[in-house]
Amino acid sequence: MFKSCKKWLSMTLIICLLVTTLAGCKSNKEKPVDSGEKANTETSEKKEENKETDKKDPFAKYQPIEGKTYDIAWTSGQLAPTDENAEMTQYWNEKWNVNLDIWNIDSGQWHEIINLRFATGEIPDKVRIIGFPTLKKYYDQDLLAEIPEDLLQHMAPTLYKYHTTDVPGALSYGKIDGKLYAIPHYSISANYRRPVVWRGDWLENVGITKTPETLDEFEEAMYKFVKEDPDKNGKNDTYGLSTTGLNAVYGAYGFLPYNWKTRDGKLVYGGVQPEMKQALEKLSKWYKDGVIDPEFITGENKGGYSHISHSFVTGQVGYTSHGFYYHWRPQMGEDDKDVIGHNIQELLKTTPEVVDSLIFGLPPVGPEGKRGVPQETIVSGIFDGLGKHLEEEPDKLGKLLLIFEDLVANFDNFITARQGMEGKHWEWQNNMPVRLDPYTDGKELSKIGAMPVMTLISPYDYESKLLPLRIKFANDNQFDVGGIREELLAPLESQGKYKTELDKIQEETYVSIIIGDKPIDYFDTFVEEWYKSGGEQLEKEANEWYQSLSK
Amino acid sequence: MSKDMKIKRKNKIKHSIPSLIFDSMNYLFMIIFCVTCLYPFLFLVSMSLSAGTSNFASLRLIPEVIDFSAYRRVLSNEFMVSGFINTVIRVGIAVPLVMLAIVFTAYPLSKKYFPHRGFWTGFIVFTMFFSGGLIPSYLVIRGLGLLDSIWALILPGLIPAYNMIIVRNYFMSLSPDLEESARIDGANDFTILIRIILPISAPIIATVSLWTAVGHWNAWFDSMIYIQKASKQVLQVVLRRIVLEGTQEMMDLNTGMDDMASISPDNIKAATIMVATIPILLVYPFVQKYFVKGIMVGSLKG
Repeated sequence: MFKSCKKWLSMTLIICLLVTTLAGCKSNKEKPVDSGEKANTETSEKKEENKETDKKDPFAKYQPIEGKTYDIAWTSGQLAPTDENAEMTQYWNEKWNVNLDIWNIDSGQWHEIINLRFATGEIPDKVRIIGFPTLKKYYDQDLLAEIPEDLLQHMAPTLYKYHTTDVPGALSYGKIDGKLYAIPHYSISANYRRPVVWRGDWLENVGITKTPETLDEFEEAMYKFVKEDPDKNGKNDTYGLSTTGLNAVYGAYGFLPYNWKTRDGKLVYGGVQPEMKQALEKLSKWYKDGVIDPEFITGENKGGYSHISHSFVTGQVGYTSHGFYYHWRPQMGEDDKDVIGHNIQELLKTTPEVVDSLIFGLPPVGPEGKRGVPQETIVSGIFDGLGKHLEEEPDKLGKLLLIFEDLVANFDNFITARQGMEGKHWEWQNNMPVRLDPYTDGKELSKIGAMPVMTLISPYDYESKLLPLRIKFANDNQFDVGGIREELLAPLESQGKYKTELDKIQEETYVSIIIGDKPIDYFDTFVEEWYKSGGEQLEKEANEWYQSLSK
Repeated sequence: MSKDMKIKRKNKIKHSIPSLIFDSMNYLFMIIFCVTCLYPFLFLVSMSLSAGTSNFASLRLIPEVIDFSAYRRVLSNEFMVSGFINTVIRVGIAVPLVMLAIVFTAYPLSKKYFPHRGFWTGFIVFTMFFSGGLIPSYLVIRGLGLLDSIWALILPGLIPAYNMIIVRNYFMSLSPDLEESARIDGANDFTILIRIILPISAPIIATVSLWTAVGHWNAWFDSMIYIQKASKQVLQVVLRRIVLEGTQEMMDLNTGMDDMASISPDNIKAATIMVATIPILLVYPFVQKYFVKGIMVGSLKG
């Protein structure tokens, strides 16, 4: 009985394995066929016509057909599902003479659902691409239509102008083999590094009057935060810094452990640079002396909105680098109707007196004059591309580019796309656009089909008109000084093969050196192992990409 | 006499010290166990009853002020309301249909004289271990035109193999004499099933119904895939969206917009979870008495 059962089981297992692999193969191949073919027959007649005009004006075939109502399938970011017949969707439908079909895809399972729909042959006209590796993946799966750069310039001159002047060269991140496949998003926020936040009252309580600027002063302050009872509650319950605080120390030595950075004209991986050994030596000493919060391994955020540093807000540490600049922006005058930073909101709930004492400093300068905390990359890793089938329908492709252009053609269009109709969803107050209740909530805007459903790039010019206070706050507090950016902005060929393992050994090494489980010299062993287990290959590929960029 | 009493008492005390320790330890661990199970739930209850300004960074059980505003807001959220209605409809349609399908499949399969019984049982058990996969399932549902329809959530799981087997095993454990005597009295198969078998199968029917109801109440993945209109989503998808707001994975998808969304405060999230959980929790006490009897018959019998 038992034996035959086993046999039966193994047989079925084998059969099922075969079936699943076969099913997998089939669905892979099926994808792009149906939409492409349909388009082919529809447009073949038109193609003939266009051939003659092609010679005179290469862009003529991209002119949308007058009077035709295009159906446009649209994927984008969403904070909540967009209503059917949403107000703003109707507005654009009328304005552009199109039928927008906005796909509601649950953000929690974005990739899973979108891949499912791709696999079953449903490809939207406007394709939202999330993440650098995803762009490469979609390209490999032949999902994206090429957007010739000169065509973009011709059809969407304002978009092109802003893109190339705001972030020169950024379009190249949407290119594969020199051809443009997607328009990278960028935001003014990327000009500002992560915050450097001090508890001003703690500094005062331990007798430090000048905000620490060098690593030595930083160290002194950290030790005093631990030893001299900065919160004056008579208990030894404070630490200097936690997870994000460590970055300033790495940065003071010139690198960040998980970033690629140029060094002598080459891209190198920060985590294996000899400077990191010095940083780790310092950190392990600090840990031994109780300066670093032992909870640094699990992070400063304890659930809920991820940009809140609970360690800092609850007074466990006196320094943090958590979140972005706007998560720390306090109320700036009575006219300030912009969103108050979430960390500030949290502090206002518990210890409002702390808010005024916060000091936004600069990252500490290390022994060799270097400094830095992480900063966002110039392009955010979100792209807008066009579905492959549009290559066969140049008039529709042109129509989409005209739509892209219209969305950023002037500030009025930009703000309409972002936050709806003036007077109904927002209004001007003291030269600032203020969103009206309930549209202060981004989810309400998503429902009516505004931000981020209809937003493309955010030109600096428009964004500073839109959020003047925020940008003033960042500039006043020098958030534009001392950031270190990730410089490798492309997925590497062998990344999938090695990265997980490499990150794992790095994580283990760093943590165990800091908490003293391993001696400092273990770092050298780690570096050797890192190069041996695939790091060398990654470095080679990273530099190949880097060279191709400068060409 | 008095000596005897003394000895007896001594013996008694000697005997009961270890047992006392054992009992008290037992109780202690039981209480700790109950507390660890209950605490997170009570924490959520108290959080949902707090005002939005309360601080929940530290552990606490009693809210500072009792405040129902979170519930008011949750219950006035249009997606919550439509989600709730959709889920109730889903459970309402699914449970009777699934039970009907299960009983009608399980009963013939429980009969030894049913031709090719082994094959058909194996055929159904097979689906327990292997499925066609996500993409083919989606293609089938789309091909049948069931997208955006409640039937996409009910029909694919109409005969849950595991539950069907359990019901079948229960039917098999019933004495065949019952059926025979009914047949002698002139009853046909349907009458036997409905008048004889079903009334004595109440425990298993109740148990499996509850499982089905809970399963459909909690299901979200199928709805997220097959339902694309926001107004037709079930409750759990809405719940998930609200609870995941502001977490890292959601942020990554909307970079640059993250601060624009006002993230639902924790008390709203807690109230949402309560609204989604309590209705189904209320069903349990009513079916409790059938439960133990029902689950006893679990194993797959030839």
